[in-house]
Amino acid sequence: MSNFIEFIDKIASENNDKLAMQIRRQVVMEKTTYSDIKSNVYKLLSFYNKNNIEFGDKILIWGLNCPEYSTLLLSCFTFGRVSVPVDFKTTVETVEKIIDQVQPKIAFVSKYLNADFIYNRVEKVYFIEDILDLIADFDESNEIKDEYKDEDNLIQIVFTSGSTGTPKGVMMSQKNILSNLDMIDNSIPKLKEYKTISILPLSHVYEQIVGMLMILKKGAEVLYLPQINSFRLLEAIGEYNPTHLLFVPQLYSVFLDKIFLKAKTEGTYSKLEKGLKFAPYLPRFVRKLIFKKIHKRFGSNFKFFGSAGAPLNYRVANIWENFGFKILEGYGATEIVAAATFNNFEDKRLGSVGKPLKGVEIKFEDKEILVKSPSVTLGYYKNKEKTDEVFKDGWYKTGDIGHLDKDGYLYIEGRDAFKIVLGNGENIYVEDIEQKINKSNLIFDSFVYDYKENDEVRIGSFIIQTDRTKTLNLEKLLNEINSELESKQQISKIETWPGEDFPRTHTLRINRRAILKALDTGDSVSKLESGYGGASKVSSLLDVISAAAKMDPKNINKNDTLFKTLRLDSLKRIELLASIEEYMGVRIEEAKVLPETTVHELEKMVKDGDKQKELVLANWQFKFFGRVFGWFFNRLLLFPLHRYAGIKIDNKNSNINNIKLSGGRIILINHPGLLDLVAIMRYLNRRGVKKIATLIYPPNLYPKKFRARLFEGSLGALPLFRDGTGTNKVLQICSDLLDNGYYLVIAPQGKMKTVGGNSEHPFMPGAAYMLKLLGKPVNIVTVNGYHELWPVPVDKHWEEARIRELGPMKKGSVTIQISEELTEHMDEKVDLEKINKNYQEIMYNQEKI
Amino acid sequence: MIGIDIQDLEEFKNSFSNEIQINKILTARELSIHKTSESRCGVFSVKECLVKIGIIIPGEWLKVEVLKDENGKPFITSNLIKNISNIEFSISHSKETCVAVAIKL
Repeated sequence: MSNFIEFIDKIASENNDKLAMQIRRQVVMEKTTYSDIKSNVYKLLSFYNKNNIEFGDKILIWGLNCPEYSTLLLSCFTFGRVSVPVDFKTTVETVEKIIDQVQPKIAFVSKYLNADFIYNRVEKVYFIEDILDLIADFDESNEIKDEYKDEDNLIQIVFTSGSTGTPKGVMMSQKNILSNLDMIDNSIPKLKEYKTISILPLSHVYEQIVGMLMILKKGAEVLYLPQINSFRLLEAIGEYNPTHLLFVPQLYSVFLDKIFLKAKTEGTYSKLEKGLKFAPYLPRFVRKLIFKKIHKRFGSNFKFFGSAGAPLNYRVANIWENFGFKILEGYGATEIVAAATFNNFEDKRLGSVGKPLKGVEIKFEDKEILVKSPSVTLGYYKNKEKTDEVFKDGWYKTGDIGHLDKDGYLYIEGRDAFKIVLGNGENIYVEDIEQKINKSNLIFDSFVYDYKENDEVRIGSFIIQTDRTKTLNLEKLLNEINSELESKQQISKIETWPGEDFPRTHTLRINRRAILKALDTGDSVSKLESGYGGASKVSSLLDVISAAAKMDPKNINKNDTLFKTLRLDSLKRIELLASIEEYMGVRIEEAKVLPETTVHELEKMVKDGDKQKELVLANWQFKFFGRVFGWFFNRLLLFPLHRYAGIKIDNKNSNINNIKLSGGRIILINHPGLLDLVAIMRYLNRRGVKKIATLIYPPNLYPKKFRARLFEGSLGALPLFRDGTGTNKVLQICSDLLDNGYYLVIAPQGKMKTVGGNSEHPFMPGAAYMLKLLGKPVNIVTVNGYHELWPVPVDKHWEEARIRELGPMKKGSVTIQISEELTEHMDEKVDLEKINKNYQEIMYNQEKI
Repeated sequence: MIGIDIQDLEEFKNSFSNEIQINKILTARELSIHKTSESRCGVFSVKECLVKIGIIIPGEWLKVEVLKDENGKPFITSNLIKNISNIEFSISHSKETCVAVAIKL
């Protein structure tokens, strides 16, 4: 394949209506198929033509990952509109510099971010998330010009994180990207299917290639998350069952921390430590067995991790390997698109970045790594001087120092720019020393630098401890580390880093320039921002509160009230609760947090919320065993008993077969009495419906285990929470079931009819909204006459009644009526209160038939 | 009943700098319509007024939506709350602040 027109044609014709990308923004999983991708890409061409966005014009993209982002990139790649994707965490100043350099004709930004500064600088700004609405009225363009197919077309400019001066824009052609895609494709493990979750930003070319193009090339699936943090990611992994994930090195540490923390709270930490001690001597499958609990969190399909963006921390990677996971690491640079080497699955070597990819040549000049391949890019945008400096005769000078071993594996020792030259002229590579320091279990990360003492060059280091609560004997540690280092690498000074984390670049490498500059000018390094964009490691509620209140955690007292003492106003309250959700994975209802709530009380809420988080919704009833159980239970026991109790279904007078039914629809029922659902089930069973789920009153499911299993197994029951907390989660499950051809039975009145009581309960206020969120057609089914036979005893909840009060009042037959298919609620502009009334009216009238 | 609310624009920008935060107070429809922070701050200010006049409670920010009609005039709508047609409101901005008033007739 030499151009993206062929690429798009190929993936669309091979995969057609197969699912390619999905995202769940609210309740429904929004799905994009391969043919949708092609159609949208060609509609975008019409949009560009209509808006005078010509071949070669620049399009700035600044936002969060989503299927629309990918589609936008593909349309740029295919039709020679030059995409300029910028990481949304890039500082405003840098983005402004980029805009000045490339002068984009339009910008696509994420509507969830504050893009005020872009509005002032780019004439036309659109929202990425609204692209489908934007192109809805456009036809697929057929104005395909020959120039689109030229493989040397500039299609993308990616800016590298120059931490000082002007950012450098790397220019990429179709050939660069497609050739790198082919190279990596050859090295990726061969699996039957591929499924992944997009984690790294799509402004990162590695994510574009491995997370997007590779997936599409293989006809596979990718899930996008509207909001990413480690909790949501873990939740998504559990639900989605990916085959592989692409992580940045820091994520391995974050997840490792979580695993250790969990082991500590569960009291299994010593067991875990023991396991890790023996693990290196055991084959992988045994390790997988020992640590099966950890593997379970990543799902049964999980095969491997890919690592990108920055060098892996050796100690951390080793622990994951000991757990039995496979980590593949590549080596590359934006200047060569993504990867130049990649670790092969079978004979990978930890510590090495693998062998050169097919088509990649590597040579060394004074130990500096030089790369030649079809993916060596076109150079820096409007920067001839820099281009001439590092691009020569098809070779790219990486600025990294390394060597190949005798088997052809590449090892990176460090970056030339940061090497330390000793008095005797010998070169020392700081990354090499750091890797060795990081092997210690006590050290989370380290930074090595040079300083002068009595005119002699010496090596100093900063470390971040793994466990900050422990006091380390630094002198002893220094001796231990030095015993591992070569004589010329000996460190003279070791200090603990004063901040939470080192300052980092957008790929989460240590921002060396910033630290060296501070050391050089004598500034205190403690003033440097932690992490990237100030995002440091937040570990406790106190950290979250102190960030929101902008106060030192030491000055916060447990009895302080949040709003009176700490002066958190309503804005800050929302910020605080959003941060608790983001960093601690606990959702707290805002209404529960009052002005007089104290820090201590909030702590308790987080703890309680933690327990609630553990509330797992049963899903066995929708799996094979559950469905078999339901089939037998209903047909052999429940239906015959219901019939025996005296409820007959009068088929003659029911309009049972008049209305066409197909899966994936919602059945709204009147709720005429006890076990009315069984009548509905009997009816649906007669219509050949096999997949049924029902939403029922939660106390029927919690905490009574035996009864809950019966409800789940026979009715496919799920709880419908009314306080809003779990509703979204339940509706998400329902939406997926509907997508899988289920019939979802809901009683919108929320109340059952009682003996002699009002028979026309109004619909719950949120009923129509719920239907709108689910977005599937509705049929109203009424069981007429049931109310006379088997109503609820007056003024009593059925659980309070005696058994003999619960039987049917008399025997008889009921008729079942079903409405036409209703779709009014699926109209975007509809007034939901009106829908509620209309549907209620239909139900009332139908009951009278 | 009458409710008034004032917001500091800079603080609003800082408090709602990411997708998790902004998603707590504005719906996707609102975000499509109100593009700048100034406009979004105005919407939040109206919602604070609605708290003061007892239409919603803090945390129910997504139950009401402030949208715009064809003439660009903002109006309140809700999928979940009845009787909001008798509310009048107004929003005003300066460079640093944003203020809103709402009256339940």
